[in-house]
Amino acid sequence: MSSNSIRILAGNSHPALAKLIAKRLGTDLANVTVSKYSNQETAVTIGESVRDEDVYIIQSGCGEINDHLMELLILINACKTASARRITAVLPCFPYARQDKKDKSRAPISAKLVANMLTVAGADHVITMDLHASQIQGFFDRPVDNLYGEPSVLRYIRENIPDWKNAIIVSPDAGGAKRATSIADHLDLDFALIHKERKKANEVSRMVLVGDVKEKVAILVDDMADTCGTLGLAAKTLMENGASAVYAIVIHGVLSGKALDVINNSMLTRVVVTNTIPHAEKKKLCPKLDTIDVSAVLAEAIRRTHNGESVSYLFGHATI
Amino acid sequence: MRNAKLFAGTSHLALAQRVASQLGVELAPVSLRRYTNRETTVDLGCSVRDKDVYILQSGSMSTNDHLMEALIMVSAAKLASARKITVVMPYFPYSKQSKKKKRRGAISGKLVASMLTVSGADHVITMDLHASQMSGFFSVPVDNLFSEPTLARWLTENVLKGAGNEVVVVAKNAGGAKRVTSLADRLGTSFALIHTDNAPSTRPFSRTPSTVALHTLPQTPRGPGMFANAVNAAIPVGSPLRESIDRTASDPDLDLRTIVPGQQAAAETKPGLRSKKTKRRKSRAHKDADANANADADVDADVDAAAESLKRASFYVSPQILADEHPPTPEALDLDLTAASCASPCLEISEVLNRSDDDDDDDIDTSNLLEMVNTPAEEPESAEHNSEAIAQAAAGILEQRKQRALSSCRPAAVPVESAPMTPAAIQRITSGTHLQNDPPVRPPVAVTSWHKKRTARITLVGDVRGKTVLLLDDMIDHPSSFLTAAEHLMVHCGANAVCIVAAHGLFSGSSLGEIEICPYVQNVIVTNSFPIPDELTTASTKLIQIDIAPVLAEAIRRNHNGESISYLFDRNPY
Repeated sequence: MSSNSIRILAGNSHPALAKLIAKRLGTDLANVTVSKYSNQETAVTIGESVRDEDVYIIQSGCGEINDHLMELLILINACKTASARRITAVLPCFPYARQDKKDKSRAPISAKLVANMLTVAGADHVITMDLHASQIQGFFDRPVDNLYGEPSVLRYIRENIPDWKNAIIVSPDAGGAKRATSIADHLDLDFALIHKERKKANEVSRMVLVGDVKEKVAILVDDMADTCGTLGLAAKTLMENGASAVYAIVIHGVLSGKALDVINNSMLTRVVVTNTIPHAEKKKLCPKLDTIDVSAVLAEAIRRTHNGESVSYLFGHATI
Repeated sequence: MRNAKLFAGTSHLALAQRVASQLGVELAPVSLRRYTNRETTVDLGCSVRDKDVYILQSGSMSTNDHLMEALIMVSAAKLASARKITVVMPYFPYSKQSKKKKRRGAISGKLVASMLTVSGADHVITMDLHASQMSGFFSVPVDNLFSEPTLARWLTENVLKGAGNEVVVVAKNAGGAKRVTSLADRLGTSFALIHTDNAPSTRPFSRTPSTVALHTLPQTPRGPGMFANAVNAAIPVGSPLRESIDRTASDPDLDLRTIVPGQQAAAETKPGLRSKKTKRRKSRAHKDADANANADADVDADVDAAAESLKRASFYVSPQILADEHPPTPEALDLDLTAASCASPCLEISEVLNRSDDDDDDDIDTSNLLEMVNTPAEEPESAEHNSEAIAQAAAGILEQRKQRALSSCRPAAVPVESAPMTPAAIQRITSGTHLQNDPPVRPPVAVTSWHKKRTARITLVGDVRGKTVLLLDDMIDHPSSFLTAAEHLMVHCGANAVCIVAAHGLFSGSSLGEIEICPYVQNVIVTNSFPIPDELTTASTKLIQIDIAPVLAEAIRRNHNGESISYLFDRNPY
């Protein structure tokens, strides 16, 4: 019988994170070439045998999102046809996760489509982190491990925010209230809520703050920050209401468009994101950015999955 | 409607009749019967070949029977060459189970979706899904209708106009914030949010803060035993664990010293392996004793506290016990969490009580949970040897606590009248019988009973002083969390009046009776998406049901004629 060991494969989306994970697991990344033909088709070569191996493919949903998704699907399929014993797709940031419901008439549920595509390509198992909605787990017919960044966030707050005991956790929209209250509970802090009143569609008319932030350190928490418009406005609202400083802690920092300008010009003291999405370049342009490393959580989840141990321990505990 | 047939299951005939009369059609004949072995059989009474078939079946109190009925009807229509089959489920059964709430949880909502699709449904019409993401569970189109326009219109005409003062929409937990802001925007009122901070230890699978010695992890090698070792390393004074125990302990005089004797007890009982039977009898005896203790309100609060501290105690102590036994595994913590929950029946009761008021999905009836939670305790054979040891330790601590409570705590105790559980409830716990065997309305409970024993901290974010509160959620089943919120709003926050508003009113067991006698709730406003027995609706003076049939009928009509449904999302059909 073959050894059936862990094989870590990585696409082009986030090589730094893949290297960190592989290092923590004490292995090397498998020899894989992912490139493009001149007609822009994705080409994949797997340089070593994966027959009867436990294969983990790390690919985050970021940057050229469609290219990266296609890379992942082709990698999965290549491993499938190369007789891998089990293929686990590791998606630190699940692509299309925000399109998870028909929020408007005739809106597509693209997250479901991605789930179907992963299944059809041959993924046996999916590991991801802080899904925009946990219901996405139900879009799959396969096991999905949804890891949480929350323990890492809690630790960050305790260790890196001075005076965090005088802080208040703020959710920048009503949908994130639950996340905010959960963090507030664990830190034994108060929480507040910002609501965007929409008079007309696509037009933020007024921000209402519910809760008292006067002379407190406000910590905005959210699962995703894209253009950071909301965060900028929320910071302004909080400062107008007497907050002494405003931090923002976000799991998936997409930071696209003019996000960096918005952050630089905003009243935010610091914006903290995890490294589920690469932002090394952006950090040079925006001194307010800070990173929480979650490679340990992903690595530990991979190790536990491989050894058939329980993953739920990681839901409540940060690993280093 | 040409070439269409509307069939109704037996779950909610009244609603089906209303929908049919709105559409101006007769319900198609169908015979639904049970064989003597309780299997369902369906006989469609007219041809459906090449017809559009609509099957209306709501969730109900006999969920599984009615779900099965719907599935068989769909299958029958499919086999009878219907052109298209649309299932209309105003209340989607199992919709609360839409995500993995705990470790190893099932997503039963997805299962129901798959079952409907597999049986042959081509289209699903439902209303106010607990999570709108659920429409992604299906591979067929889903129309998720909203009751909000209907409710909003009724509220505008009857509450907003009537109320001389301001109206505020309030969510009773953070999960409902989005729903509340949406209705508040529509009504043009303000909103507020209630947050119940259950102590982390009362949540059976809470994502606790990273206390345990994770700071020591890098030094310890990866591999078996690292977590157990880490815990051991962390227990000395001054460690984060110690602090966290001190901080969270509900009782200041319970600290690690109290735990140590229990630990010794465990060590003592370990070598002399008693026969399993004796142990089981012993645990039974303990269970009965605990049930009795529960009846006595004096001891009750204390037992509960003991159970909590016990949970904490066994959580932290047992890795050491395990370490003595055999090589510890990285799963040691997981294992003994399970073991701890098997160990003490008292723990289960407190768990159930807490869970019924847990943050998000709290309306599942507690009595049903009881059965499920009880099961592991009935099988001591399957429990590991360790758990027996832990059980002994647990019993030791529990006994100590009880003794102390009886001897010293009497003056400060809660009065007996406000026993937190009715005799019937205790009966149910001890006998393990199901709710359905109970009389529909329990004997009146003391009004204060929902909150007397709550240790949770309730916070209101927002202002309700002098206003009429609309306490909103998507469904209401067991009302305890609503009533606690209502009391908080009226007594501590100065609200003028509280009306409960929900799309789906399930009201299992004695729910309506409890609302009836609660002085803090003025009215409870729901739609008729879920069948409520007539005797209950007539008996309740506070219940107001708003007819949702026009929305369903219009959705069916538009579907049949290929018109857009989205019109209905913002407007009333009539």
